Amino acid sequence: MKYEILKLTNQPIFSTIQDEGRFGFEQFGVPNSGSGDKISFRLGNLLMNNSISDASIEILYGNTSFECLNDTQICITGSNMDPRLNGMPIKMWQTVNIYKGDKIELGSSKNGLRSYISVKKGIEINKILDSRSTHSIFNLGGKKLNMGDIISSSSVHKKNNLKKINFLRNIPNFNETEKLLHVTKGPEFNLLSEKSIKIIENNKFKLSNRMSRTGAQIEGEKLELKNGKSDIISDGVSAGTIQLPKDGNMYVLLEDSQRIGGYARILNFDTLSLWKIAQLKPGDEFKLKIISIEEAHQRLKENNDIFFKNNVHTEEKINENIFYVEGEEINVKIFGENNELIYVNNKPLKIDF
Amino acid sequence: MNYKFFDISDRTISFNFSDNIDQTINSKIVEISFEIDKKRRHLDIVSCYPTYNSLVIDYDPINIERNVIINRISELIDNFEFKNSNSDELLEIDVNYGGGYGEDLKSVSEITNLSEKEVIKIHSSVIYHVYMIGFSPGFPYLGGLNKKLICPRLDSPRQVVPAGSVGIADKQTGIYPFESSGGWRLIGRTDENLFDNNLVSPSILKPGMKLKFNEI
Repeated sequence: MKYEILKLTNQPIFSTIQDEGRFGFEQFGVPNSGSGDKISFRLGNLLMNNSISDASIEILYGNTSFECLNDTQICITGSNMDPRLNGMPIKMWQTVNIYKGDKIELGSSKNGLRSYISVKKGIEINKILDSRSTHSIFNLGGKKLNMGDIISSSSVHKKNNLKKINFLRNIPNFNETEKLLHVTKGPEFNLLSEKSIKIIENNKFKLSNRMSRTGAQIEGEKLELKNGKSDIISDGVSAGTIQLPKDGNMYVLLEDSQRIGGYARILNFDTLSLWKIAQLKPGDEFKLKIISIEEAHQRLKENNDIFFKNNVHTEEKINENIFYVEGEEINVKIFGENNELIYVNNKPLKIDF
Repeated sequence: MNYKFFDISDRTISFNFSDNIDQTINSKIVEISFEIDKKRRHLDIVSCYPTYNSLVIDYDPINIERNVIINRISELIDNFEFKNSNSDELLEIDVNYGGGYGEDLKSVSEITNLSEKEVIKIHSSVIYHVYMIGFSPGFPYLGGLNKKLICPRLDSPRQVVPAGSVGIADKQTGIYPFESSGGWRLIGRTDENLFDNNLVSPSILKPGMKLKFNEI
């Protein structure tokens, strides 16, 4: 069974269907693709009680609007694009009830690059090579979304379930002022000149406009290799690998990148920083810190404990009241740990205490 | 077989078998990779693929320790029984060389001190070995390029390389099945479709196969 859930009512800047990624086809040259900010993406699926491999909508830059075609729940995570339901601000990082005819609007991104909309049971679309992820260049699998496209799911929420709302105890912080990204040493790190290593450790860098889901140029003082060469025998690379072509500008590979590369692999963003870069916009500045593989794993595990262990709580204790104003029925539901969540006629009212 | 391993990232390890491009070693890596790929779930690895001289292993560090992966893969390599199962299948591919089809034929001719005609003749007279597929879906890295044609990559990669472009870089030649960015010097173009995502193994060319270019 397939249920139509959302219809795109404007032309998004760049929105695609993404899941965890496409693995196992690297030997045929197939890139991994998948969601860029895996923390936000996974938290979306977690809040929806979905499987980790279910697909969501990845919205870059924002300015995307939808019409709801069925009563169900969705969840918006990632960058804050000032989401609104029928003109009213709605909360992110929690499940939200939507009803047929509702209008969802996302404005421009405030504190990151990507938002995710998760739906119950994930988005229903044919798997290509075992994944629903979209490759942005090769048009392999998934879908680049256009105005008029309809998003379907294999399930909708039953009326009873709409009373339960899932929340997070810990929400990722998108508002750090000083961005510090962690890197591990790449296989060709030792070819860097002393001067270049000092530049990496001390300087500020900037994400350039030359950026896509396959990779991004990093702007900063140019680096050099001791032997002057930048070519290697083409070998394995991964998302997060920083290559140094002969022009001396670092180039970071992102989620849609190839898995074989021929330029010196000087550094590699650790997995946690890779997910963080996915939320950086062209022009954003950051510093680099070189860490060991062990430290990278430690960071990843700590992050996993914070966001993916006992982070979701479900609210079922709902105080429901019906008021009559000038003969019109108004349904008010109040719930949440501090009664901070108020729904008027089943639409969430955004109040920040 | 002797090998060393190093971390490409905090979730990717490369087992490196040689500092040079060697067809015999590559064939063995391809065979090991194929076997490991079949046992992915059992070994708790995410994916596995061969390069010229390395075996690349992806793992999920949240679920498994790096040392466990290294031990499992090392043990598998150390006890591997080679069957030499590489195919000798030959695929011939028609290529339009030069002009608008191969914008860098001129620079290759200048770097190599050969005429454009000589470059074409040398490039299309060799039977190449498919070492690996990568860079883009179905992109074959072909070994056996005549030493006279060795050229460095472009200093800065091109933003758009047309689909079907035949390029050379260093000791390698290859084909871009999809439009993409790329730093190889383009000498021609083919209409052959090298990738079909409806197939279980979607790349028409596979590591271990042979390929020859025909000038049209």
